[in-house]
Amino acid sequence: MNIPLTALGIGLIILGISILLTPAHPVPPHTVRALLEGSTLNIEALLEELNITNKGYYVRGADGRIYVFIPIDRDSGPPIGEFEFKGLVTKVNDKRYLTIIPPSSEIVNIQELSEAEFNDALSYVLVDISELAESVETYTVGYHIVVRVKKPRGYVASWRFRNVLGSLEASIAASLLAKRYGLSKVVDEMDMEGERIITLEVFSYG
Amino acid sequence: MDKNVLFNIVLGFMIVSTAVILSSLGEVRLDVYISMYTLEYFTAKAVLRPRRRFFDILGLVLLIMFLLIVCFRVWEILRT
Repeated sequence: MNIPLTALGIGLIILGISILLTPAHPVPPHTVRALLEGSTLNIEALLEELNITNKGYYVRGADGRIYVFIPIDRDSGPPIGEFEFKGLVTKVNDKRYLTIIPPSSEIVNIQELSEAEFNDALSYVLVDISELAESVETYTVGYHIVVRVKKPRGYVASWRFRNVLGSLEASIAASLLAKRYGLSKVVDEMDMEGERIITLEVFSYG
Repeated sequence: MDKNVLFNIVLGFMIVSTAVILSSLGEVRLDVYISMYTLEYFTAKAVLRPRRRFFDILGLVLLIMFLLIVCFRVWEILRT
């Protein structure tokens, strides 16, 4: 009789430690989603004011932060080369880019994502942390990475933000890719019944 | 329901069920209980993915204990 009781005691100790390890007041996912969506509105206003329509390039800076470089004039390719983030406009190889810090710039730096595969990291941010989607699936087609987001729940539809930086889900995916490979872009997005297909491109960096 | 709370409820239910079922079957090896707890912990964690305040030290401790138990069992088999 002693062994089963001892085992039960050990089990209860495991349960107790598990409860202690559980955060008491975790930030609810819908709050994270609201914060992310709210931050898109500022960028939307800025893009609207400057009448920017070119698609942005997601770039990993020397400080590890993700920036979005949006060609101000015509789109003459990704910003390949050294740059220093000093203000709204950055010059890289004599090309001028509007530089924006995307809403997902910091969230992709969290420790849990440091060693995760792209699919797992994206799923963690979109499904677990922010509940922006029900599930996520990624695969490679040629030089492009395709992300299938099932039941996207982003409700704030900023038209210009979506055209320039992609939807919030696409922006997070592009930021994760930029974090990993240095430079990425949202190529295309397509909304289908209950899912969003996002096509991303990764550029060789340096 | 919050998945962190759900994880602890599921884990508690699994642990108590394991203790009751194994003891009713007359199991007296403590390592069997601990191995089952470890498997249940990682299964529930993989399915529900609860958040943790910091590094999951409980998972590490259970994994080490599980590995020691397995090594001990293998050593016992090799010895006989």
